[in-house]
Amino acid sequence: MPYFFIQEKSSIINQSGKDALDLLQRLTTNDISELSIQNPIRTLLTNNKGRIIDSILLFMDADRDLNLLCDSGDTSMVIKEIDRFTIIEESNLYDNSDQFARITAFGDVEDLFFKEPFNINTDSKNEIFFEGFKIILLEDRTKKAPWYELIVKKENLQQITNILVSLNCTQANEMDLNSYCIYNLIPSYNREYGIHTNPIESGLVDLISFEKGCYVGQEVIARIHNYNKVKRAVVLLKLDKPVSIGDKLTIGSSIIGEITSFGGDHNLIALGLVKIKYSSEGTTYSINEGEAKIMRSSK
Amino acid sequence: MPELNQEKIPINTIYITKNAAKKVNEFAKRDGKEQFGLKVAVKGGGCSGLQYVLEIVDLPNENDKVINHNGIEVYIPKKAFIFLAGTVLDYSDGLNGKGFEFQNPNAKSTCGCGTSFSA
Repeated sequence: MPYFFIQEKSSIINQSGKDALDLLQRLTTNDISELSIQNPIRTLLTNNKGRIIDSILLFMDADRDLNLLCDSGDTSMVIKEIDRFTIIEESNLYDNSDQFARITAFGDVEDLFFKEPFNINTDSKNEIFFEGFKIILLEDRTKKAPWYELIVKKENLQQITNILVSLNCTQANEMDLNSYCIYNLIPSYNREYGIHTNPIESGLVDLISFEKGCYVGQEVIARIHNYNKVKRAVVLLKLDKPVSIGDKLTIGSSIIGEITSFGGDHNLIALGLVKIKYSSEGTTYSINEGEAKIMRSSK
Repeated sequence: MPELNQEKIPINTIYITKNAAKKVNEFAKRDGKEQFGLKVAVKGGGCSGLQYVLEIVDLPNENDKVINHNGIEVYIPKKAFIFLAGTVLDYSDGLNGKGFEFQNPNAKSTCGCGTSFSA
């Protein structure tokens, strides 16, 4: 089934200036030198301790303006962090969140945008004009499951919603999207990743370039990776009883980790952040009065 | 080793050691430049957040602070100067040499290779 979810806040920052892309290349984890209109790139803003400040989907619009789609929803924090390192660079940031709406499409949406009525040709542009309004469509290939972001002007939100419903795309709530993330082992901000984790333990190693050179936090992240110092992993758990976020996972009397997300039918699947030594598939933990068994692991 | 103790460097300037000045002159000569200056700046990036910029240029920019030390004209963008005030730029070569090296009193921490710092 195809689904769409209307995000509460679009969290879009526009970045202009001749040094904008070069500055982000020096501040974030992924190699963004191949960013183009056809190729949005997800990257991580980390601090000098290698901890994640935000996960950002970078995209160019048809005017070749640089835009940052922030997962944290906290655009002021991202602007402040980038501004802190903007010294001699020509780079300006504007919070465009109020102007745009953001819709996340997921599930069986692969064909939805590439045939009638949208008929998007991703080889040429990520923008289409449809029934008089503009839609920016971004495929996020880093999610490891079908995932698209649609950006429209706020005044066109109802129109795009009507179109998606007419195409049998079901409007999802936050728990639906949360369950999709859990089933597909997709880490979420402030749960499986955030300022409490480094990218590798959060299963976001694909968002790191180990060849591009220095960025803020690179030294710590490279050391964790090269010396195999990863201490935790994200695991998909099957539960026999509902749990809450923060509930401790134990083996014997030892705390091995904790629940970071839960969802699915009857809330019986969850993601947990656990010690890597105990993160192999099939491992069973005790939790509250029940059990949690690892179905998949990010390690 | 720099010929000045860093404690004696006035904080409203940056100091180019004789070794560094000599090497800058060599690079400029190699590039065929007779009139030049050394741009010293700071930009975002590097493991610790801020990294040094060293560049041989023809002229200063409009808002650059201009300093002359050991025969080298140094151009520092005003926005970068607050991160560089009191810095000694040295040069060491040979097998154990590190090349150009910044001794920056504003740096709270530096990365392993010494090319970036936090302030």
